[in-house]
Amino acid sequence: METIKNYLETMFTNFPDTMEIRRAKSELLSMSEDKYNELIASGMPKNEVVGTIISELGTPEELAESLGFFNSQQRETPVEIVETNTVYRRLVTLDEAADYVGDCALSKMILGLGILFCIISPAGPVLGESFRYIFGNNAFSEMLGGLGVGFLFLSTAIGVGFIILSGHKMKEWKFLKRELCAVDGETENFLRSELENVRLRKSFSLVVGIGLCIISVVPVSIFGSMSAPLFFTAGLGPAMIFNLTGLGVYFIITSGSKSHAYEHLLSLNTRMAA
Amino acid sequence: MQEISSDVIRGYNDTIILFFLIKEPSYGYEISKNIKTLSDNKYLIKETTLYSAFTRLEKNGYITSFSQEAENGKRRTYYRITDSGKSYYKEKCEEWQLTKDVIERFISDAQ
Repeated sequence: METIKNYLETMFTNFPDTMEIRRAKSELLSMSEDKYNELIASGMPKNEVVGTIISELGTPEELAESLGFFNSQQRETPVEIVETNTVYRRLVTLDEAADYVGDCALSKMILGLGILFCIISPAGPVLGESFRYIFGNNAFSEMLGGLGVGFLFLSTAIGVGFIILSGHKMKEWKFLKRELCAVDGETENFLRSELENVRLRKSFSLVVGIGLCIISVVPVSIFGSMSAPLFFTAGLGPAMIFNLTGLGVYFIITSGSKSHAYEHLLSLNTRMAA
Repeated sequence: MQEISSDVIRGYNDTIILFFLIKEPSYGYEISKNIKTLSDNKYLIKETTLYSAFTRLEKNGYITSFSQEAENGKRRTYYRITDSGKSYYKEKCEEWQLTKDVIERFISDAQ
């Protein structure tokens, strides 16, 4: 009987926790219990009983359909068209929704990295030049200065590359903007709960990002007030401004990527024809 | 053996359930068992299908549900047919007679 209970639990995992759903679950459990007791009493082996009950219970898709959610065909074929108020909408399946959110997060991460590389690029020459305060004006300092300039170009190039790449990832989702789309009830519930889950992380990320931007000037001020050697006040300190700001901006850009994606998907159903 | 098509029978699940409830109030498993027995094991109704039929019938006011303790002490949800359920059953029976009459005209042994 435990196996059957577990099977029922799994069947219901994707449904919202409402009175109606709870009642359905307890009724199906009650029917299965009656059947279990009778089949066991008839002398059927236990494994066979469990198999029979589960196979005759119906699939999660049939359950969804019987509870008034979208039926299985609509969920399995991604290009199925749903008619709502005589406007045709393309149905976004649960898998597609999860893929979309993943791609959004990845794209924002690549964009964030691109901007990070661009912002930190001046830190190269700033730091490179300042080595002569330590080693004096010799060939070694020249070389480090040259490496710093090299870093400027390399980091900018990588940054621009990432920024271009980030837009590329989202091309296949353009239809979400072009066409009228819809998500079914099950997907909507999944999106709502996920949105709730990422909310805290979003705020945390945002706070960290803004915090990093604010404290980016702290190293310079500290080095200045301590009248530290020129390498720190003119080199490392200013370089840290770029690095910390870059990191801060990265956190700010990526903070809302997932929740934006969830919100966008949830807004699909209410969007009207242009 | 040729299996029964759920698409065809779907429209008559309600009728089948009401057939049993007209005699006496009953509960989920008893009805599914009776369907199996009376159809000589030819029609096994799935629990999910049965449950959705109950909720639909209840929503339409054709049946009401109540909780009752069985002899073995187990609490079960029983269903009872209402007056409008009885007249709905009668309508469905007439509809089936007509459907049967029409469809049979197009059923032929000749291949």
